[in-house]
Amino acid sequence: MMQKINRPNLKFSPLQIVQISAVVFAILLTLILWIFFTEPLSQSLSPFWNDKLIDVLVFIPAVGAALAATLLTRQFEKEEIPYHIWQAFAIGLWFWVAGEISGMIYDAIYWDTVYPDLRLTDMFWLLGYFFLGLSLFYQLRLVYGAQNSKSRRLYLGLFTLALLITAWLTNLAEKAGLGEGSAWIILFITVLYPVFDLTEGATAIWLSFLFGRGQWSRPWLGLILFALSDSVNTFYWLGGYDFISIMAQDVLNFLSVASYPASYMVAGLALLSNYFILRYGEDSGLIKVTKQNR
Amino acid sequence: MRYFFREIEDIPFDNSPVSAEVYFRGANATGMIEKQFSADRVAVQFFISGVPGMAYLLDAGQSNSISLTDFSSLSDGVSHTRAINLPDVAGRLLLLALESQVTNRFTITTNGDWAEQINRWKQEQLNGLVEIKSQNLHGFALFWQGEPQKSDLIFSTLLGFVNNFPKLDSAWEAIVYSHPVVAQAYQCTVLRQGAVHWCHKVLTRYQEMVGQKLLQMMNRELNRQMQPWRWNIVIDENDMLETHFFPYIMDAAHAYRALFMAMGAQMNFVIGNNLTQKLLNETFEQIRPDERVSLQSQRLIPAAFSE
Repeated sequence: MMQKINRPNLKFSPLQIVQISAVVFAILLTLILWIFFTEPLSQSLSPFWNDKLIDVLVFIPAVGAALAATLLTRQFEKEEIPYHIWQAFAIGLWFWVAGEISGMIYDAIYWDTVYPDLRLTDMFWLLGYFFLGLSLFYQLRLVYGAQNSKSRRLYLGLFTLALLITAWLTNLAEKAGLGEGSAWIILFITVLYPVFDLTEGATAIWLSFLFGRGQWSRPWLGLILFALSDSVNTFYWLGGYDFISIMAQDVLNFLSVASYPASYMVAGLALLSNYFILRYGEDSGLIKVTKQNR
Repeated sequence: MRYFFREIEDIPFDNSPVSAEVYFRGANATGMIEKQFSADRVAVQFFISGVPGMAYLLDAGQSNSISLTDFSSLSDGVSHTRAINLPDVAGRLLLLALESQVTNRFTITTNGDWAEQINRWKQEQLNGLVEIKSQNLHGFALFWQGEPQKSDLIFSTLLGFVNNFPKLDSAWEAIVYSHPVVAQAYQCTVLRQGAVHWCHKVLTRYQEMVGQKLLQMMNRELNRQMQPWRWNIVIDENDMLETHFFPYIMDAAHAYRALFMAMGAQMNFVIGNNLTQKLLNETFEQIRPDERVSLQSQRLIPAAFSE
């Protein structure tokens, strides 16, 4: 039997909420860029507070995206396949929120001293990658129709393969003199980020091509932006900045600073739209419907 | 005397086909006018949603298509003229019977015999129409791949038309038909089966990909879009319930095209063009070859329904 869709009993319509959120995010993004490049608090207070203000502003869309993903997940029945996709996505984003919080705490403790080599923040980031990767894996498996109970084991196998490749790359990086003075495990974790970024970014791009202009492609765009942001950092870490002009460096810096919060914003808005579509259906105003006899 | 669907009350007229025609046209009703000559000679004209359809002369079990003018001019020897309303399913199955040939005729006397016969048809993967007659019963059941089709099963009983097999209370005469592939009614049947099966596979796969809620949303939209056409087609969960009487294959193809186009547009919005194309292609390959050929002959193909 057809279920009844809940009529929105909100002050603003779902469409308006999405539009308002988009405007708020655009303002936030502008503010983040302005604070990053002009450092207004660095002189009046300290660089620490300038940095923390950016962190707090980035934290807002990060929490928003994780919340939207959670709400979206709850729109599915547990036995439905999309439930598992969005559940893994939500868990991944919550781990990244935890990464943001722990990063702020570490800054508060160690800003003026030396940071510990192994940080809880890395664990949160990597767990986030694990679950976001799982989400991508579930989505690809669903698209290609390969349904079997061994899929989690297959994913763990692929994950282990990524770790082995990272270990091999770490040895190469060590021989090339990168990360001098750092322990092997620290270098390994540092290399792990671009490996995950590359894998998940490429998978997200592939999914975006598959979904084309479909509504369900949009959350994956957030992951692509995140990979773009991190790839600039990786390029910097590999010493790439030594070979490009100051102007090009500025462009890359701008791209990196803008795409990082934008990744949360794009994912958050897409997840919120999808949540509203599922929750309120045609009444969300987010899908086109025929008007007769409504 | 009555020949088809004897248990159904006649529409009260002055025994004139002209007033019956006025009624069908005015009410946009589906039904038939039956002119009885003798126990085994009868002429039938269909009205489909108020529009005069085809006419047939049935003589000693052999039916032949006749023109509407010929039907009108048949008056000598007519012992009784009657008009009855028909549900669309009854109309389309009767039309299929009139365009087909009897291949087997036998009597069923016990429930055991009937169950055995059903099993035999299942094993034989029967694709065809079965007519059943008894003292208080007349109707048709379409078997496809040996299974009776719920949406193509109708019997006239003393209680009116029913859409399931009635209880066997007296001996049943069963008539099995074979269908010439060129017969319009048979082509409509194969096309309908193809569209229904393809639609089921598309909806099932779409639900798998996006979940129950988005499927229901699409179903509501499809049903809304089909409403102005007044087709007896409803999308419910993963199924297309198609009970419309399309006398011509072009009419049926037009309806299915509209449905699949709306479906393609809805899926395109959610999962995008590439995945919609992929989904339509994969599911199209899963339907029976004869049904696929029938859909292809009407250009009802995956490429036509994604941008």
